[in-house]
Amino acid sequence: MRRGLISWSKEEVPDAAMAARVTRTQELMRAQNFDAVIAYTSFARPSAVAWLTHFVPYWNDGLVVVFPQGLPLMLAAFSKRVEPWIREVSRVGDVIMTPNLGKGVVDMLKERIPALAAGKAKIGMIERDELPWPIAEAFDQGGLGAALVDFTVQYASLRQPADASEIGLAQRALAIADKAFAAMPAGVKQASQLLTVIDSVARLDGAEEVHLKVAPDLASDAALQRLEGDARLGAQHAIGVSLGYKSVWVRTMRCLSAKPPASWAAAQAWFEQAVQKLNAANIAKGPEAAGLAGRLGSWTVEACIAGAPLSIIAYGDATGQHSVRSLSDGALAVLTVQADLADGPWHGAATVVLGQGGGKARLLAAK
Amino acid sequence: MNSSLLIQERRDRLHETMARADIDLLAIAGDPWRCDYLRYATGVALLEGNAVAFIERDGGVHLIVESPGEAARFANEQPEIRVSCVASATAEAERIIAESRHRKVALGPRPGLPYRLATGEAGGSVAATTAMLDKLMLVKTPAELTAYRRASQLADEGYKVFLEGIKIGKPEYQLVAGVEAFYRANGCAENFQILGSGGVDMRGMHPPGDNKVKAGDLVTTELTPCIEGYYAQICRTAVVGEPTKTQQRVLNIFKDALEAGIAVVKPGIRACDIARAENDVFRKHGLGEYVTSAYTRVRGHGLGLYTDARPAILEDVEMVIEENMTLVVHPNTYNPEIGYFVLGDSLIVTATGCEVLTQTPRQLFSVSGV
Repeated sequence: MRRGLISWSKEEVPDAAMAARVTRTQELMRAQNFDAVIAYTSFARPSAVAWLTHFVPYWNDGLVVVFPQGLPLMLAAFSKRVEPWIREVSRVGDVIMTPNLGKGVVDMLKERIPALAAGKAKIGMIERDELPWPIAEAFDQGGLGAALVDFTVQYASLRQPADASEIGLAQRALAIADKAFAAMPAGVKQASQLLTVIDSVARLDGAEEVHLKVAPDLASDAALQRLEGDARLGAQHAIGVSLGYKSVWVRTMRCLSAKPPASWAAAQAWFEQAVQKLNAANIAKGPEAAGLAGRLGSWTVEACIAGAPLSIIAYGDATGQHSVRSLSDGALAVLTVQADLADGPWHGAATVVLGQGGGKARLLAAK
Repeated sequence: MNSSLLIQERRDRLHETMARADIDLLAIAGDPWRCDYLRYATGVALLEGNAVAFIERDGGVHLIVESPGEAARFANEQPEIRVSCVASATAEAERIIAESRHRKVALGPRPGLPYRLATGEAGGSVAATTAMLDKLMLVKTPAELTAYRRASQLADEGYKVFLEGIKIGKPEYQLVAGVEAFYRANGCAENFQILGSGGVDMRGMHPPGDNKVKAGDLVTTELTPCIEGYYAQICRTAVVGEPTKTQQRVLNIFKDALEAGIAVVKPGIRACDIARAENDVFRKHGLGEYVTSAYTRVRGHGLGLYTDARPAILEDVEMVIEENMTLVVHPNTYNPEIGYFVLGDSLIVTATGCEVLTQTPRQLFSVSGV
């Protein structure tokens, strides 16, 4: 669930920036003859709707419908009393509250798109195959199925390059994470003592959500775990923070020790060089291991190009390299790596904007 | 923590049920929002991507996820499970189901099931599979109740932290951050919390925003910590300053409604009986309009691996209440004299009635806010 700050700062995300995203979508819709495009949202898959409207659900689900003209329309399964809050945090036109989202959208589309009845409408659905069945069932029953075209690839193209607002929010998210890490007490024995401080400082600084993972003792296990309970910290440990700020997510990692080995600083230097060499053409191969004083164990490239806060673009592990999706120049991407060094495992993470025309990627700094 | 016992109890019940239903292969889909069924069957708490678990009749579990980080975490947490990472869990599940067409495959649950799987080969089994899983998950085992009790205890303790944190001028999100820090320090990684602050114009609760607490505000919260996946809930209202006589009078109506609802809870009654008992108190006071959907959502609900589990406590819900179900009874609604007000307790249905777990007094708490 989301229980950090959810609000719309028009200084950080101006109304004009939101309008430009919708206009970009509508231009593509008109070019490809779409009568409407539907995006689904839940707290697990909030990002497409957040990009279009700035709305992030703390709970429950909803649908946003974009027509070739006008503001996006929202259907939400919340109680009617939640509408003022939705309007406070979102840029939407009509808001329809209905417990049956699927039927609600079918009825509304039939009313607004006469061609639907004649079987001549074209409705785009972002991540159509993944739409939850309680909603999709009504689409089938309402005869929408034949008109429904997957819009996932088109939506991903709209998200790239990242706009200035998105990049600014990522930098703010990195700053919150940095501040949280800087507040960690030294010399503590239990993982919860570190996680409590990170969680608290991040939320106090306005994080929308914070997911924490920890490798309590790198000498025995490099894997980052989600702790329910507590764990004793070894001499070398690592913490991974995935942090959302106004629907933009970053990941940061810290390897921690009272006596950090020199190999960690060298690995960090290698990583910062390696990620800046990434571009749209080579991203499926991940960071180059050349220059790393150790073995590159695993790596993952992610980006926000669908409903999930971060979608897998490519990854490498013991089973090989796997390319899942592609990215374009100017995309905002998050990289995580785990390397095996002479002093043991090391974790790193970075957020970058891919360079234009094969140029250097821009390593994002906290701001 | 009783994680291994919990997982074993749930797996044993699941396998007995699969055998009774003659199911060879059970496919359970989930995402980070609806991962309750997945957690019941496998023990994993999904944070990212979609996932589908295949449970074999002999007990084998194959978990398909979309994130290499999640795959590594689950393989580490539960080495007995086979974990695969793929580009699309839905596509891979579709392939496995197609390959298993000579076996009896059951697919579910309806909440969270992707369109493509629901309309595929095993789609005809979704309703029966969901009903089978719901039946298992509604009535809790001893280890499940142990986790739920601990969550309820943390709800009480968290509410004390919440009260101490109410300060004039403090934004709502910083108030919640204090509660989250307390929970994190106590091994609780998940919590559902909404709140509200204001006066007679306050119509409901919302996630933490940047509204600042003011003198004289009512501050409401629904606090729902999670232990080993199990949520318990407390709903209470505080006032910044001294309560007025009107606020105290309204509190008593809510107290009576909560007590009336709890008083009828026992095996064999229906969810609607609880809702009616609560709502009758409001109707007696001429407040019947305020128990309708224009002002309130539900009069309580089930608790468990999902924060808003079945049954919804509403006057049109006929589900029969059984021993060892876990519920929150909360007559939360808008009151035209003082604004939105919340009061609710978590409980376990016993053989003869119920055991209320919430220990926090049913009062309107007064805080100075300084």
